[in-house]
Amino acid sequence: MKNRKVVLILTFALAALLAFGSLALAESRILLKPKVDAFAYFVDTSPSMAQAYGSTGTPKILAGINALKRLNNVVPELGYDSALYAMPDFAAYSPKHMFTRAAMAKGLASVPSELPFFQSTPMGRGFADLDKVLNGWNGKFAVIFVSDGLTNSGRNPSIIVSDMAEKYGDRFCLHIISVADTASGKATLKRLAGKTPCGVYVDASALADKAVLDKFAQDVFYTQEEELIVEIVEEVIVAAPVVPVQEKIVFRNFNFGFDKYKITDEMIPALTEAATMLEEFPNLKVMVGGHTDSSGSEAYNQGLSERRAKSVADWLAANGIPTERLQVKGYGEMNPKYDNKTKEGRKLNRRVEIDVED
Amino acid sequence: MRSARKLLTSIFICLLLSTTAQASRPGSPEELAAFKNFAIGWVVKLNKSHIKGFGRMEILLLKDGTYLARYHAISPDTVSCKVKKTSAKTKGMVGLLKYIETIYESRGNTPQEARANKFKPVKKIRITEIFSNSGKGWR
Repeated sequence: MKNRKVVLILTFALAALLAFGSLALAESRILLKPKVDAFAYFVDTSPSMAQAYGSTGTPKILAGINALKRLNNVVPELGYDSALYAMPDFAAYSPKHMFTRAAMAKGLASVPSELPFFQSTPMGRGFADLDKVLNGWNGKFAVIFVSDGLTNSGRNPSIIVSDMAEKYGDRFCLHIISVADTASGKATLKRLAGKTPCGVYVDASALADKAVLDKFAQDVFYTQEEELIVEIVEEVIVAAPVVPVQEKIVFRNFNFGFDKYKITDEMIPALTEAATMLEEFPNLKVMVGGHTDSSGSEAYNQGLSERRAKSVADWLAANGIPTERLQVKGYGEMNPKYDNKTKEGRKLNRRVEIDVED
Repeated sequence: MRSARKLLTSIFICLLLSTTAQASRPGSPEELAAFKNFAIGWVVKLNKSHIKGFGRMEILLLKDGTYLARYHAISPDTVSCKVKKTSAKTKGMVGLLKYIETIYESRGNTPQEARANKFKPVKKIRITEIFSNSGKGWR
């Protein structure tokens, strides 16, 4: 009886231990989640927006619209509603409906670039008009205001936006894409962005930088990842699942150093991981292939890629992968996968690949 | 009693294995999040720089006079990340970025038609890229 008790306790202990082990192997997955239920682009079409944006010579209205077009290209379609409004004469160029890049692009194309000369800029009234529309919106929403920050008549926009922030609480975020070229304009817009705790301010010119653009899109529209990838997804047609799948392991950042091919301590953890993975396919051949970029002579690159691939294969052989499974090939610069004309492409081409083959 | 001894032996082996596993125990959620951010940018670079990517589609004239359009792309929904702490000796981390690169093809009577027709996946390559971080960022 006592023995049975011991066995029972030990069984539970073993089960607990195994359960812990399996938890540690859990993988995470990248997901895109919308931050808002709806958003509105809100464009200032007051007379000062017809003036040139800084030293660019481009009218501010065009610079602002172009920034929105760039943004529109990287906003993932995640099921939120969208609208496009303009002020000071409140107008809807794209009514509220489920966001698609195509529909929004059409709306952006319809915003006038010829603006009236003799008109004041009642920015406060513009926000008051917007508030009337937003009043009927449910859930969380963001407004992306494009302006030069110049306001010269009517109610103080800061007060209107403060009231809106108080009324909507954390449901409302006001973000700014600024085409301001005056200190007062910038100060006004930064003050407006600061009225909601989640507000983000960015200069329209900065959005020409892809990294800034992507970060702004992520700050405003969604949590975690996504960039241009989503665009590619649109083109991808997922069809019948019976498609052959090849396994490949890639080391792209092995820092062998110039003309070097010896395995360094720094590479060991990654190689250990690869060896562990290869053990999942104990009966399959393993082809270790070395690749270089196109810098240097073809013959030199060929030799270097062979030596580097061999170093990796030798390490795998010394660490549990049977030599009869291993094959080595140097491709030199002859099998580029990325653009050798760019620094980035050349960096990606310098790689050692391990193919698992039948 | 014999059963108990067997079980004790099993537990000892499990403990031994789990001690070895310590050498590659998972990273923290913060470390994983940092690696994910790095990985996202990396996948974007791969899609952008691929010489046979969507923007630089191959168009091949086939023997029967029709055209074949082909491109490679990594779908974001195939991307997954894992971070592990490495052994005491190197005191760093390894990051595993897994994704599927799919080759799509479409045919048509003209290059334009091949580009415009429906693309179908013809091959998938399950790729694991292994990165290291010894305190100087992911590389």
